[in-house]
Amino acid sequence: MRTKEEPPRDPLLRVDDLVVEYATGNGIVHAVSGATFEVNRGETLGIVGESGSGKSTLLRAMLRLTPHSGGSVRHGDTVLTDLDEKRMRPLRPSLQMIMQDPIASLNPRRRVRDIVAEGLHMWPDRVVTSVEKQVAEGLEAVGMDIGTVGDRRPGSFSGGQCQRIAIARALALRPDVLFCDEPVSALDVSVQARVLNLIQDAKEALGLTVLFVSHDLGVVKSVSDRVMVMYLGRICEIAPVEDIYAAPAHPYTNLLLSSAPGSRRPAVPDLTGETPSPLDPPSGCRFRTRCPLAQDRCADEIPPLRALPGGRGVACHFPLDHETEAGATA
Amino acid sequence: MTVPLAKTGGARVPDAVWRWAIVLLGAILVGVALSTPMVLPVVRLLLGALGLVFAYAGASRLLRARFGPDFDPGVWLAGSWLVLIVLAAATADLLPLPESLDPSKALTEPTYAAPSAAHLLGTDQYGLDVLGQIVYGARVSLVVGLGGVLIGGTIGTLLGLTASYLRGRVDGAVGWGTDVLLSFPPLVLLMALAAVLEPRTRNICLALGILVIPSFVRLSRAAGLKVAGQPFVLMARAMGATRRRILFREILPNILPSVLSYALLVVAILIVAEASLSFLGLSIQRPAPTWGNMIAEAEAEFQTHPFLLAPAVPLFLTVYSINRIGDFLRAGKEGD
Amino acid sequence: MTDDTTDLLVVRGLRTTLRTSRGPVTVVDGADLRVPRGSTVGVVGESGSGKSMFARSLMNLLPADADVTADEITFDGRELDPRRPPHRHFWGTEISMVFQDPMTALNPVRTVGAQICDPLRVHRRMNRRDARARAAELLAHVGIPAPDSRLDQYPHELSGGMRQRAMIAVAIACEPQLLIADEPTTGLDVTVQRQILALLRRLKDEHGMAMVLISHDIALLADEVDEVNVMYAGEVVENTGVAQIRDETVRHRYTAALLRAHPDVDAPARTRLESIPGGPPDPLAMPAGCRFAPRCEHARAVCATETPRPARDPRTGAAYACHFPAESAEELV
Repeated sequence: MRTKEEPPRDPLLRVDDLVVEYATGNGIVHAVSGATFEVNRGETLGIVGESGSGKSTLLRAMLRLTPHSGGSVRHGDTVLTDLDEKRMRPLRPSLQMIMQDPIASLNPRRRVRDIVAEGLHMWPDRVVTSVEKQVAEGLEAVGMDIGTVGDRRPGSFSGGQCQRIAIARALALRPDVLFCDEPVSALDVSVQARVLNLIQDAKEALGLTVLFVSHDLGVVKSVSDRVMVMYLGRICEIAPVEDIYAAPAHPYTNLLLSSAPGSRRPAVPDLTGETPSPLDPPSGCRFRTRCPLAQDRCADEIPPLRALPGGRGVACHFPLDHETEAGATA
Repeated sequence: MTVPLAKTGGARVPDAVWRWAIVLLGAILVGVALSTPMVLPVVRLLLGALGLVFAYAGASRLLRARFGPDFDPGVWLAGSWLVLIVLAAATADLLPLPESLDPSKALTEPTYAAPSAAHLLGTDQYGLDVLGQIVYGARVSLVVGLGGVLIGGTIGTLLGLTASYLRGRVDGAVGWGTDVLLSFPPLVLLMALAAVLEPRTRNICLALGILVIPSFVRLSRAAGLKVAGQPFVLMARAMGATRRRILFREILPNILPSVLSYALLVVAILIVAEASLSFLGLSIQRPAPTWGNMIAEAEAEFQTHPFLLAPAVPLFLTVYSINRIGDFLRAGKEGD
Repeated sequence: MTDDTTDLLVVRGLRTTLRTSRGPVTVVDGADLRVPRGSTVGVVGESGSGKSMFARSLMNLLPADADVTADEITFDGRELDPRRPPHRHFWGTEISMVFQDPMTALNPVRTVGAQICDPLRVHRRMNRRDARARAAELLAHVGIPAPDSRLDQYPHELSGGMRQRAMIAVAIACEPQLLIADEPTTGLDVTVQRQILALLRRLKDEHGMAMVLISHDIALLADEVDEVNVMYAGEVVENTGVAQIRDETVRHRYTAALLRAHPDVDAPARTRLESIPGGPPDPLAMPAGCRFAPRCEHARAVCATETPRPARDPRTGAAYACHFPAESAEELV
């Protein structure tokens, strides 16, 4: 049996059995159910999923911006999930975020220079030279001149420009990790490339670790080192980017890839074509209602996320790749 | 809109002549009203009012032709009136007014004097000058209007803001408090307060301030909830901003415009409310003058001494001006 | 029988001007469109390119004070005045439209059934019972399970994909010859998007409809259409076959840049995308000459002063308006 070289592991973030559930008028939403994965230092982990997959909730729960119901998140030696808000605060500058709606993520009543300087005023220990200088450098890094944009307010900028300002603000704090929640979904193709490249450049220049949530498979492929696929609150598959796009092991990954516009993969049958409600997810494997390979076992047993050779993991009783057969019996 | 048409046709002579003619007609009417003592006062009053309407209509057309269609002479007039009344109230002690406060010093003055050079708006039953009392009464009206809003607006906005961001138990408590406060009939509440508090300007401010707290709580809570759900607030949290910073740096500046424009409205309401309280004898007592208690006193006498009702005019003008300026500011905000 | 040789819709020199508070804005400026019978023609453009306004101009869906003129609009061999329909059943029966957001395009307080019955009752003069029976057939036809019970549901009770199917049912109720689909899958998940596109393709084939598919996603169009019209800043800058899009042998520099900026799911992983500098121009201050020139890396002095004249690629037949077009494949060899 051929063995694949295991990629080096150097986990900066470790998520263990994280559960996020919240009550609504209609019942309990199972937003994230038992997510376990690691993010290596200096890598970009792409997180793909459709609406209701829990990918954005996962990101917010990791940042302690949404209450979690169970499990743990570690950042280095610190267990973030054990901290109260007061002890979490000093760690926040290291864990920065950019969001989907770039215009709404900037306070409309404040000037650009104040928005970018905000974090530095809060965390004086992050000021190396001077606030003014670092703000100017931050804006310059995203291709903006503080002299021309500094005194304007977010309303006078386009979505792409606002997203660049948001990146400048996040990077001004010199974070370790950048959490990107659909950062280019609201942008036109001609400007999204620039934002993606900025994130990429910042990652290389500052040695950032990046979590990149997106529904766009092409975007995730262009930025990620590893990719994690989520469906209805559970992780389906996690693997190096080349492997997952070349040979998806989970039937859902396969469906997703064949559905992407421009994909040359053969069409995959999709039994119901509808994602069930996260209020009442199917028993066992949550994808089984749409899966062409589903059997009785899939309804009874929740498939665990099993490690496969080559640093892959898949949560499926009957994965697609041949190598996984060996993994299953081992 | 006819205004742009008038502007494009501005080269034609008749337009300008027509506008001046309206102004002139107004001026003549006012002049007639002032200079014909033989005619019935009611007719003079009507003529004067009509003249003012014509003068205003003509002048505003002239000014719009000069300064463009967006020029609003009403707002300028309203602003000028407010500046005038504030200045007069602030400098009342320095103005050369006949005795208006202390009846014991006005013993030599005639009582119920008709308007004259010495007493422009006549005197009241104590021989105190009515114009002077209006000026001093403006102090009470303005201080109560602004002070009540300052107290109620600040407390109400802070409570509403905190409730909107912290939610949970704080929100519940604040909501319960405002509901309780709102369920008292305002007049009963004020009478109850009047029973325990001395009727002094400060206490009237306090009482009216408490009365308007719930409306500010509701306004700022609703606006705060809307802003608190915005991504930039989440971003501030993610950056490690403290609660205080989020409340005062991120949320407050975004709800302030709507709170301020509402506050202006409430100032006008409180000025009327104070006058009503005075009228009912629940506010500052005679002989200390307020517009409300002056009108209350005039009520009995106005058949024989109609000029005693004069404070009604500044009351109307002030409240109208504040509302007019409030409308103007709101329109400007929406036009952004 | 339809005649395959003639075009169903020909639009030449369409110009749409909207009145705004900042003055008149020409959102579509001299656009051409040709839709052969039974074909699917794509229109691609970014936000502000005028692609949706183009469609709305053809559907008479603009505000009353908008100004629409054209050198020629011919539909099914008849001259068409964009502001005056040839007969009162024209829109809805001969051309109809599917919108991006079915949540807002469908009336939230009326049942799905009532909204499908509307066109049938108005245009086809059907009675209530026949219309309802036909509506149920239509729902089944667009792949909605248990159509009879769905008729009495409200739009918010349906999933996003089902809502879009319902809207498609409304659009095809009177069997139009041309269906204009404006971003019909934007906002839907990719797996649902794939189903909706497959549905549109099936309906088009079964009914012999022609379709104009408008999208911001050039890869999506490359999967679905026969030819692509690329819009930029209110102009159609290139009209080319889908083969040229697929093998990236397009001529206009904007189309080429758009393809390079697009993150392709089949491209090698971790490839750096080429971004296009700047942003689309302000419609109130359109650049002179070529409107893409300020963002174009190949622009020279002439691009900023002279409007490029339409040219035709002799080999592929693609039409483009660019002073310095990308080399065609044979020139590169």
